[in-house]
Amino acid sequence: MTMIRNEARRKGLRMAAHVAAISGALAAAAAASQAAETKTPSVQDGSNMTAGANDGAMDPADRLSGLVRVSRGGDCGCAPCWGPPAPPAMRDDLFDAFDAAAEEVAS
Amino acid sequence: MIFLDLRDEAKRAPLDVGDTSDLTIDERSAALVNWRDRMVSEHVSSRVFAGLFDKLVRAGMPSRYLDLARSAMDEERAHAALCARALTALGGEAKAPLPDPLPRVMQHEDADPIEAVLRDAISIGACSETVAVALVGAEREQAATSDLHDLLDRILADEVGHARLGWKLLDDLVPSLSTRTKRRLSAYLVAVFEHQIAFHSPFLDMPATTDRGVSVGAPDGPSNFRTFVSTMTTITIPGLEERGLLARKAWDMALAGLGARALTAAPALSLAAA
Repeated sequence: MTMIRNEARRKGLRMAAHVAAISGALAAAAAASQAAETKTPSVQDGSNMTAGANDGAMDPADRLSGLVRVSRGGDCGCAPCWGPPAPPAMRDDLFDAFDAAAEEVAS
Repeated sequence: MIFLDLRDEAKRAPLDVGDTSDLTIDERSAALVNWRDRMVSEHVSSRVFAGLFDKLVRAGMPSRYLDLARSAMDEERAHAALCARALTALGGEAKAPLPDPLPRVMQHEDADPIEAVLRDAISIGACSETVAVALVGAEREQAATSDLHDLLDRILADEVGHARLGWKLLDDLVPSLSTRTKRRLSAYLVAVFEHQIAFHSPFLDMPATTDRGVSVGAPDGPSNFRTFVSTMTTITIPGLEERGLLARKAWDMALAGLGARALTAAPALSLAAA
């Protein structure tokens, strides 16, 4: 990826951060993360659930790419374009699963 | 088969994409497919905002929100015409089959009217359109000509408005929600994140392209997927957390589900034991 492409990506992400109007501290964290090409993600990327401790420095996009590639049996059939897809339906099982997971964390 | 035919709209306003004789076959082909897919996607997305409009009416929301959702419907269709102009300028035909059937637009009847509005605000505004701002913003920086730059500028301005509509709804409505409803919305985030990952995962099957390819609209799959992940992890999820939703927990759950499916699909990889 060229410097031009990296800089363009950073500009796009800065615009998106501005739109989300996240607070100063969060915006600074996001900017720092983008500048470092998200080497240290601000959000859990699932590494502790799916991979060993020795790949802790792996890029979150790379990790998610690996997960997606081996897990999917088929896509939703849409091309990933700019137009928003129709929001998904809620699955009833998620309410209980989420409560259980949140309580596990709390305890 | 039903076709979306925007050839007349494209002919009425020719676009200057410069001399494209230097494009390789792969670059031109990727750009043509991308503009054609975008044309269809933008056209179909007007229904998504029609669905939001309906939910806003059901929730008794102020008319300023109705006006914004209605404008978004028109803007998505206008974007389809803009994509048709780019497609035509590159030598393509602005005619393509529409998906049949069109994706169902959920009414979220299992939720109360305000919760239903917020489900759409999260999926459409905080996720899809915020990612679109990052993607279009990056592509605009690399546009080959002033015409293409202006076209992307117009689309970007509208995407910013659509994303802001979602975030504004969250700002105005979430603070007054009960703890129970916030918890229900947080659980819904798991479905949204799984859907977002599935929607953007075709980027992984697309090859990278050259700067010249990007300058006329050819997609760089790996770069676009990274932009999607960066937007979700550094902007959308912190933004939702800041507004009182348990987005990190939901993201972890979405990834855990993906990890479980990965093990089922390819147990030999033994990701959990790696």
